[in-house]
Amino acid sequence: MIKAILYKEWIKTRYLFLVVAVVLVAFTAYCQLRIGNVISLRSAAHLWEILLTRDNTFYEAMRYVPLFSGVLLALFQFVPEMQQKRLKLCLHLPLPQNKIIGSMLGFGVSLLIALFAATYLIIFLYLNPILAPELISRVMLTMLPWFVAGIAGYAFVAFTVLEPTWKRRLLNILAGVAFIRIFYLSGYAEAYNQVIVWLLIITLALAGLSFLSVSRFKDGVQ
Amino acid sequence: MSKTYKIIYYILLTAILAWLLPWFYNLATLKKERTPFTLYSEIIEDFAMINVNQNEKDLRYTDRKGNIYTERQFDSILPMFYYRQLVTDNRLPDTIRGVPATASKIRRENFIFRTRPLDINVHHPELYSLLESRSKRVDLTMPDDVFRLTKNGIEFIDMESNQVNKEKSALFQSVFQQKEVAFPIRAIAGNPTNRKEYDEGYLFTDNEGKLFHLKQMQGRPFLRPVPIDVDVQISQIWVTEFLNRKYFGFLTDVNNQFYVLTAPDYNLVKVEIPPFNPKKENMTIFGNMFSWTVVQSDKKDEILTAIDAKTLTAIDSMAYHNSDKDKTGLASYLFPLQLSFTSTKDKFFYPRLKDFSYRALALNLVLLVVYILLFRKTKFTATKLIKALAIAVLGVFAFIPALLMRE
Repeated sequence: MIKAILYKEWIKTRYLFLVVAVVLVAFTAYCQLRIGNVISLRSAAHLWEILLTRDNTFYEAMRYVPLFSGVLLALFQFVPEMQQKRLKLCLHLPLPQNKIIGSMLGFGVSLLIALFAATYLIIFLYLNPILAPELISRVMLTMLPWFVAGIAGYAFVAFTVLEPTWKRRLLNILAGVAFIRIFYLSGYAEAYNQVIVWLLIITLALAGLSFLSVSRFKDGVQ
Repeated sequence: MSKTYKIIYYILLTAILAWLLPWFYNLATLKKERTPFTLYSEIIEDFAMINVNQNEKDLRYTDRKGNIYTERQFDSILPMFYYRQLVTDNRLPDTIRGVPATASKIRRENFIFRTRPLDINVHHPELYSLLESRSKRVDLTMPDDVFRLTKNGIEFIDMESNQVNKEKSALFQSVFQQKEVAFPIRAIAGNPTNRKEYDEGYLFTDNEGKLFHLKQMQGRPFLRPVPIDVDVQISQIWVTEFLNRKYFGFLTDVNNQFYVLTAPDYNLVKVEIPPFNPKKENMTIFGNMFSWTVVQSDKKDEILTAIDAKTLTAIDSMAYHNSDKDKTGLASYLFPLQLSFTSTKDKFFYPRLKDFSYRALALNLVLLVVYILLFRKTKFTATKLIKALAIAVLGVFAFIPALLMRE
C-alpha cells in the first residue's frame, strides 16, 4: 500500500522534479561559470583571495533556489489533495492516517534531500580540483542554511495547504515566513556553523506539523 | 501525534514572538547614540571635542574646561590631526612643542588603528598569504601561494595548481624546527594585502605561548623568536605596519592588558590604558608623534586615554557614559526576556537570550488571569496547564499563541 502511495506521489511530482532538477543544475552551472570566468580572466589566486578576504562564495545567486524548490514541491504535492477534498479519500485507505501522511511527507522530504545532495555533489566535484579543502568547506557551509530553508519551505507550505481553515492558514503562513527568515538573517560566511545541525533537526521535526493540519481536517474543523 | 505537534507549534509561535516583538519594539524606539568626537590636544594639554546637536547642524568646538573655539581655532589646537587644513591655510607652525614639524613628517608619524569585536569574532579560513617583504619592486604583490598551519607544521599550497609546494613547505618547516616552534600555533595575525607601504609578515604564538615573527625575505623564511616575559600570555595580536615603522604590532594578553611590540628592537611595552577585551570592546587609536588618543568603547561607556607616544604612559583620561542605556524602558515592563540571533559584536548566528526583566512579571500575572478567565468554562487539560505556566513565565510571548491556538 505504501508503495502505491509513493507511486501516486511520484506521478504528481515527476514533472516538477525534472523542472527543479534542471533549475538547480542551471543555477549551479551559472555560478560555476562565474567562478570559471574569474579564473580565466584573472587567476585562481584571485579567486582564492576573494574567498579568503570577503564573505562572497560565488554561489549567492542560488540563495533562494532551494527555498522555491521546497515551496513548489509542497504545492504540487498537496494542492491536488485539497482540491475537492481528495485527501478524504486518501485518509480512507486501509492504513493508519499517520502512516499515509508520513509516507507522503517522507517522499517529499526525501526527494528534496536527493536533489539538494546531488547539487552539493556537483558543487563539490567542481570545486575540489581548484580550491583547498578549507575554502570548499567555507563555500558549502555558507550555502547549507539555504538548503535547510528549502526543507523548511516544504514543511510550512505542506502544513498550510493541508490546513482546513483560512484563519489558521494565515497564522501558519506568518509562522512559516518568520521561521524561514531565520535562514537568511546573517549574510556572513559560515555564520550558521554552530547551529546548522540543530536547525536541520528542528526543520525535519517541523515537517511533521502537517500531522496537526490533517488531524484538524479529519476532525472536520471548518 | 497531533497533540505533540500542538505543543511543538505552540513552542514555535512563542519563540517567534520572543524574537519578533522585541525586535519590532527596538526598531520603533531606535535612537541615535553619539558621543562627541574627542582628541587629546598637545597644545592645550586637554581633551578637545566636537559636540553635535540633535539636528546635526550646529557643531560646537570645545574642550573639557568648557572653552569654546571657532573652527579655525580648533584646527590650531589639534595641529597633528588637522595639519592638511593648516597647510592649505598656510597656518602650520614650524615647530610644535619645540619639535620641527612639516606636513610630510606629521603624515608619516600619524596613524589610526581600529579594531572591532566584529572583526575578531568570526569564522575565518585558516589559510594565510605570506607576501615577499624584501621585494625589489616598489609595490608589494600578492603571492601565488598560501600557507596553512597544521598540527605539526607549515604547508604552502600553490593556488594555481591547488597542490602542496613540498619544496617551500620543507624549507619553512626546517626553519620552524630550528627555532623550536611548538605546534599547533595558538594565535596568528598579519595583514595579507598589497595595499600597504611595506610588509611585516605575521606575528604568532606557538603552543607554549612563545611569540615569533615570521616574514618571507627574497623567498627565504625569516623567523625570529621574540623574547617576552613568561607571565605574559598573549591572546590577541594585530600587525600594525604604520608608516612610522616604530612598531611591529599591538597585542593583548589573557588579562586584557594592551602591549606594543616596538620596532626594530622587539621590546614588548605595556600601554597604560584600562583593561581592553578585544572580543567585546571597540578600540580606536589616533596616534601622532607626541601622543595617542586611545578610545575604548562598549555598549555603555566610552573611555578616552591620552598616552605619551614615547613612554606609552597615561597623560590624562576621561569617559563618556551613555545614561540612556541605564534608563528602564517600556520594554522591560512588557517583555520578560528578548530572543535574538545575530549581534553587532560577532558574525555568528545562534540564539541568544538577553535583557531578562523581573519587571514584566506584573504583566505576566495580569495575562495569566485573563487567560484563566477566558478559558474558565472549557475543560481543564494538561496542555492548558502548560500554557498557563508558560504565560506566567514568558508573558505576552506565550499569551498571544495561546489565544491564536484556542479551539
